[in-house]
Amino acid sequence: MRNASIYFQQREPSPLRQIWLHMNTNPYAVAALYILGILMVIMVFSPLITPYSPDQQFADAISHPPSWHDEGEIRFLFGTDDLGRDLLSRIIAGSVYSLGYPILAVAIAATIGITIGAWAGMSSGVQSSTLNHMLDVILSIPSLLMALVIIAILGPALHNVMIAITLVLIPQFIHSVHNAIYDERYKEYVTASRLNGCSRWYLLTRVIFPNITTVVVMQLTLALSTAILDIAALGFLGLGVQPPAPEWGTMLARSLDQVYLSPWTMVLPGMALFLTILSINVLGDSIRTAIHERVRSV
Amino acid sequence: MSKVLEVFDLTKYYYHKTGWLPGKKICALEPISFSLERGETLAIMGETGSGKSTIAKLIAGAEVPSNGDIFLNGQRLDPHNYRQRCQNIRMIFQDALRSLNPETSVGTQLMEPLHFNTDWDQDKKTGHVIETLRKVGLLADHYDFYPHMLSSGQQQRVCIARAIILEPQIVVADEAFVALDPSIRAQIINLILDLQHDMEISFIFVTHSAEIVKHIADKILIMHHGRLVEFGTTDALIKNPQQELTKNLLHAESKHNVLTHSTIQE
Amino acid sequence: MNILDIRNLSIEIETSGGPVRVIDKLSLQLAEGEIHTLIGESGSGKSLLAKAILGFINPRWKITADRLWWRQYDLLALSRAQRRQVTGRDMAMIFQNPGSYLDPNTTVGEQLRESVPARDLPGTILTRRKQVQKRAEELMHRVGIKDHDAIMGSYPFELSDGVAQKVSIAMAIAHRPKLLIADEPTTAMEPSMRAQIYRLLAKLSAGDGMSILMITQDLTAVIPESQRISLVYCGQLMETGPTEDVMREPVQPYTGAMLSTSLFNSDTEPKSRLPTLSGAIPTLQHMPIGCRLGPRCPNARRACIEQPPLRSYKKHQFACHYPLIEVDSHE
Repeated sequence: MRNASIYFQQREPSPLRQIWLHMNTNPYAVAALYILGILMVIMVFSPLITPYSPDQQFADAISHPPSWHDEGEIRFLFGTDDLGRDLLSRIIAGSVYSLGYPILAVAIAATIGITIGAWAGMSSGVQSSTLNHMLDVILSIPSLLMALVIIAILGPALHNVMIAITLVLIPQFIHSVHNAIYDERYKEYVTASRLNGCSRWYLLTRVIFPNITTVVVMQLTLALSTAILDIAALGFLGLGVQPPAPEWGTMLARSLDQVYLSPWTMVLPGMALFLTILSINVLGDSIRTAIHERVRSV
Repeated sequence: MSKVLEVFDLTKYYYHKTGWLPGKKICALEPISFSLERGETLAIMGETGSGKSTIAKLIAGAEVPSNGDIFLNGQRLDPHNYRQRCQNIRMIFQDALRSLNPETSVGTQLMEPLHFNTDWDQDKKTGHVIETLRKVGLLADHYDFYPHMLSSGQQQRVCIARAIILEPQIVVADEAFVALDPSIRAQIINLILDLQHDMEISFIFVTHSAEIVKHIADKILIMHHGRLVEFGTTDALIKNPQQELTKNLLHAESKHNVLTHSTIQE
Repeated sequence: MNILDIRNLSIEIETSGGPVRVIDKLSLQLAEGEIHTLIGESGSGKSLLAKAILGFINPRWKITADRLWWRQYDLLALSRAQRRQVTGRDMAMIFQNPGSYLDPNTTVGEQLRESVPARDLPGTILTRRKQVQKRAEELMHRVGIKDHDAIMGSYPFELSDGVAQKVSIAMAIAHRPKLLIADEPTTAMEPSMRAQIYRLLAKLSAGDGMSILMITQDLTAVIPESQRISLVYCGQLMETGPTEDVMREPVQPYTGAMLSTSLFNSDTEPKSRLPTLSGAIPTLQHMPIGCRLGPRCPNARRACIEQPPLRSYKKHQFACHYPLIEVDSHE
């Protein structure tokens, strides 16, 4: 049987491990991974770790600066806003709206989009081209504008925002998966597998799909950062999550009035948003190159 | 000797579509009929665009013929039934690396045909894959390799392993030797001759190298612009070519006559 | 007289696994007007050698040589600008896939006219356009394209491989180079076209006294006009000498193996096993030490872990400890 140990010195690590090893060589990717990991943990445990309730108002501490400021107090680490609400608690609680809901929206959109995209990619003729042209039309409208139109029809509320974002993301998934599958399916190795007598399902899931993971990963990160930005933007415009819910975009909008008096109410939620999106993009990019490198490296 | 493969009036058209109008009909292969006996080797030669690759693809089932039938041992082959076909007719592609899935290990890819065409249990399948790897001169360790880790000769061996794993009666090779280095090419030719001898496989190959044809083919089929120009045994076609094209194709090379050297042992 | 003189050229490439010596002490001499065929399988560094001669040098390569002379110039001592000048004036190269080396967005005529150097045209700037056109047509005729108007008006993708290769030869010879490097010019072509291109190259060499370094993979591609051949394996020179002598009486086991596998002789029994080298070509990371043919060589013995020096036998030079023919060691 297989006697690997006799002469073979250099064992190849498993594909997943190879991707991990490759990512490890890039310090930015590792930093992004840790930041995103910490954000996720904070998001999941947010009800437990917020020092105060996000809506609790402290009448004695209105517009307190952050604790590192001379006038700051240690009990309000990030300071308070104009209603005396603890900013740290609000940012932590806001991660559910600004990170959790986009992840959920992307997950739903990805499931639906990849399924339809795969079906479209495997079909041909009128079916495929109709879908393709229709999607091209939808994709020519910016996602935020589309979300605005949908909100305008449905009315501003959290669940409507979710529906709008999901609907906006689906065509992007369909489009990229469809194109990726379409490119792959006439390659020689797929023909070879077809001649092996493989079923269409096997062909799609085991033969083609591993080869389009780069596209899917890229699309996932792109969609996630779009979703986060769109939810924040809608919140900022007052069309998304309604106050007093501590969504980061809504917080930014509220802070506009007192940006000169208490700049921390704007900078801190903004920083949170910035860090999240940056780390998602960096991470997605490095995963994509890592997958790519694995096949290319000799 | 019995006829293992019979081809009747095999035809292939393409429609060249421009805009909305119904496309122009382009004939890639005019009706062609021939037959092949068990254990025989057929070479298909011709210039670029002569339809020689089309024949190979039609027989292997990679493309669907516009017209005509292919009979295997007297039984008609359905162009859409890949399972029926792949148990008897297998194909080797020109570019070994491109015909292997870059994201799947060699073992998994060789397992594929067994998975869909046999009802063996996992151990038997694994055993058979390893046995086939040995047959084509690879090691059991190559089971876990990915295609890009192998050299070009080894990649071609994997392709051959995939072709013979179901013990087919016919193997079709489309320019399988072109991309290989000379010393590796000779190894692969030897391997194919050995396999043919051991397994009684009929072999159909497309090439433009006159030397390889002279060495391994029993019959030659000459194509030109989608039409059959000449068909006959290798001996007859070399000694007594009826067409100018045949003469050109078979005698284009080999300008040097050099003494053989018996010093090199395999 | 040798116009190109390379002695012990080595090229090391930095890889993630440390430096790899891709070309190992290679020597090559090319006389004026000579066709020299360089034969090497994939990974032999033959294309790299061509790049080193032409000076397409990547900063990650470390090139060392006892001698890399082109006529009276020491190429390694020249500055970048000087080297470009010498290369541009005296050398040209043609490639394996001519289609991909021509600009797809410009007509063939435009590209050909562009490659005609202005320096050797008679007449003033006013008649320049006409002169260039005339010269371009002349070039087309020289490479055997009669229908120059149609070809010059078309785009590269409209041409067949053979015609595209002829066009790229025309562009290469436009400035009358002294050396033409042909990197597998006919690998992707059909036999009849192949013969045409070879005839054309041989004619150009004979007519203009242009030296040609023909790089190929296969002994079958050696043309009768080629005066000398060199066999390279994994960046090491195996054997070099006059074509006829090497073909008739190979000394190096590698040459012997290549001859018996590549040139199918009429007396080979059909369907017999072909003699060949066992094993595979080593990858860059796993080069054997000493003679790199060692693991595949039928004659290999213990001494082969040291690289053999270049020895002479009649008119050949070869590198082997245990050659096929008894060679007097004092020779």
